[in-house]
Amino acid sequence: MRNIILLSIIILLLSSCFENEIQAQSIKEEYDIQPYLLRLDSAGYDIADDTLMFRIGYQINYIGKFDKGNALIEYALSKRDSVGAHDFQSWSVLNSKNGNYAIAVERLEKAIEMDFAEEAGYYGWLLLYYYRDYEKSLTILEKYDALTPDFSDAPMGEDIHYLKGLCHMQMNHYEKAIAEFDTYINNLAATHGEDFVDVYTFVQKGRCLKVLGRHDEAILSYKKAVKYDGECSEAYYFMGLTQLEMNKKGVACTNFNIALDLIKKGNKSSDGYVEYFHEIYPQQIELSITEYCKD
Amino acid sequence: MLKTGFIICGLICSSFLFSQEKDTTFKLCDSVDTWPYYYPELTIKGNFWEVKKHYNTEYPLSLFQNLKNNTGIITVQFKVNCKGEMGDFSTQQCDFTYKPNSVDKRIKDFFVSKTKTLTGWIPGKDEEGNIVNHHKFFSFRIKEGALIQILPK
Repeated sequence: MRNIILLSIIILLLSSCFENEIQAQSIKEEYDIQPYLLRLDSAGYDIADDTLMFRIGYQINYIGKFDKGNALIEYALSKRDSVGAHDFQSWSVLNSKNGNYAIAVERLEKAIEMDFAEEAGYYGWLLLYYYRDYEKSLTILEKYDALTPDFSDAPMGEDIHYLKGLCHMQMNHYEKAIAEFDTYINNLAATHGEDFVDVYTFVQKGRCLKVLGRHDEAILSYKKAVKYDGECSEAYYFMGLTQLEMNKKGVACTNFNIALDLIKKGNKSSDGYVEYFHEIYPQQIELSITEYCKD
Repeated sequence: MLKTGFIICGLICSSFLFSQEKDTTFKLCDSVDTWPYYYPELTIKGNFWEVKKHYNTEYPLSLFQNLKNNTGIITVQFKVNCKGEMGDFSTQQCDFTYKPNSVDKRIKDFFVSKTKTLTGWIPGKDEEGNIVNHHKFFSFRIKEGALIQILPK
């Protein structure tokens, strides 16, 4: 009887161990990199070269062996006299891109703590697109933007007002989103011309206006997108949705069909890494046509 | 007796562990490398629209809303071989501040099992035109039992 109780306790303990082991996969920093370092050393790699070891670790992460890759990067950085903000940012990149969020964010937090001005733009942009953490993204982008009050920053090449507008839009702060989109549009129109504005700004602005019931303004915004990109399937699709709300079913269906035709010809905005906020799919348009345009 | 106990215990626990996370039948294609999902691009029949539909259909919202520990991010990582077969599943979990946490096991299990039933993978080709293996993941943001976001695409 004593043995049965003991056995039950051991099973319970080990089960709990395994459960913890699965959960602990969030951060596997305990990977023993020494055997791999010995192999690298035997193969003629200079394991004292921290830059080389970082690069190899990065490549290992690239092929999806994150325990080993992160352990090697950690080893590489341990060999440096000092580790800079950008080292932590670089370490985070493939972890963000592959869903190792706890690892990535810990490094990114260190990076902005060390050099906010250099690293925060990327972090804010990343939180928006890769983490869909709108509140945190906006907080960081606001703080970053405030560093240069007379200058519109462009984290990762995208206007900061556009990015802040997207954050607001995703949090249902439509008035604020429109204000940010307008700031971007007006700034660029004044310096380079309105045709330099990313057309999806007009699409997003139109979507916000629609939610606020400002249908006519929304239509004008979509038409502006079409003016600058006549093959913008998204503008036609969202315009159609707005026209449905305006009880203009005929033109709405015409626009759905234009959107479907365009998207089937490859006019679809997409990205290799993440889904865009304005991204639409052929099935989505077909559903709208089936639902509203078949009678 | 104690030794026997340890052996039985080991077998039970190994079986538990492997049934959760290991698929011994899955093999990556030997002759090609393993690449991330974004280059060369790994796609799926019906694209991300179908993926979202796959997870949202049959999502037991009312059940999960009534569970404790029903907020956080669950990530399911896996590999897709050159034949479009899936395997090597693992999971990570964190809260909305990106600290490791644990949502109710039933929620995690739902996403793992739904991920395992995805079909129609189209692996990319390397520069030599060979169809490659990929590593891929989906993350699910769950707030009070509701599925609010699927990442990345």
